[in-house]
Order: sequence, then structure tokens, then C-alpha cells
Amino acid sequence: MKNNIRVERAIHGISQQQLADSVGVSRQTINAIEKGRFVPSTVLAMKIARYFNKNVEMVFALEEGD
Amino acid sequence: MKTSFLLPNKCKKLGKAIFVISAILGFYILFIEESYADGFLIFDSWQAVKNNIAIIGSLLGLALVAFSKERVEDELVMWLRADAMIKALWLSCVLVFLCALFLYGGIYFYYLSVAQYIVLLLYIFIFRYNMYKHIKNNEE
Repeated sequence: MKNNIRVERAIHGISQQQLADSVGVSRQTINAIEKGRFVPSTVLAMKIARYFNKNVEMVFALEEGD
Repeated sequence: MKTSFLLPNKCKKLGKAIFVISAILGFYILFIEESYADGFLIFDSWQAVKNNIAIIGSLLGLALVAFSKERVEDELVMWLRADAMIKALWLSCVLVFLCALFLYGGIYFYYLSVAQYIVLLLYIFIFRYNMYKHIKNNEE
């Protein structure tokens, strides 16, 4: 699953740490999600999308083969 | 995310202290003193009390270390825990097979003394390695 969290962070001008604190995970977890190494749960994906005032599918998208 | 059955982070330090003291006592009884209690009741004799402190203390210490929360306990950490648990169970199965095949007599007895802690020990080592890799790979 791909995501554009890095782009959204840049638009909102926030760091990984700020986003991590807001959604209650570690900064390393946000980094792992951004790099596509970890697929978050639905709850965490919705929290991240809500933080950016977007729908989940505007932040996360399925890739071919998912 | 709910992380049930996990203890507060500060239990980890307590667990390490309990384990180190109990394990040293255990090794002393097993390899230096080489005397074992006949009874199993805790107040049977001083030797039985020492044995029980070593056995229960080691297990309690390891359990406290294994099941304490990380400073930030999120869903990725829970995933790393699950991964470590599966690998630890597999490895301990392999160890049991190998030791049953290749160890006999007194050495097998020593192996059995340690075997009761193998799953927890393997889990702790694999989980720490997973956490180390996770933090190292995701530092920028």
C-alpha cells in the first residue's frame, strides 16, 4: 500500500515527530509507514488521514498486487 | 490501540534485577554447590527455599522483562512482538529436537534446567534485535 504522508506533511509543514505525537505512535513508526515498510491498521490510517483533514483514500492507496 | 496483558515500562528494570540475582543463585546451586532439595514444598528446607527462589525468580524476572511495554508501545511494536514470539517458538522447538537427539545423561539434565527459560530468553533476544533493526532502519 502506498501513501503520500510525506507530501501531506510538507504541505502542512509538520515533522514526523509532531505527526507521531498527534496520532500516538513513535517517530520511527511514521517513518516506516512513509517508506512503505509497514502497513498501518485501519484505525491508525484513519487517525493520520483525519489529522490532515482528508479521506483515508486520499492519503493511502492500494497498489497493484495488494 | 489496546495493548492488554502488557505491564508498565518500569517493570522491565525490576525484572532485569530479579532475573540477574535469581540466575546467579541458580547457577551457583546447579554448578558450584551441586546440591538439590528432595522435597518440593517451599518450607521443606533451606535448600528447597533457595531452589524455589532461583527457579521462580528467574522466570518472574524474564517474564517482567518480556512483557513490559516499550516507552512508546504502538502497533508496529506489537507486530514486532508477534514476529519475535513466532520465531522464538520455532527456534525452541528446533532446540528441543536437537537436544533430544544429541544430548544424553547429565548434560541433558543441565539442558532441561535451562530449557524452561528458553522460549522467554529467545523471545526477549529476538524482540530486542527486531527493535534495534526497526529503530536503526527508521532513523533519519
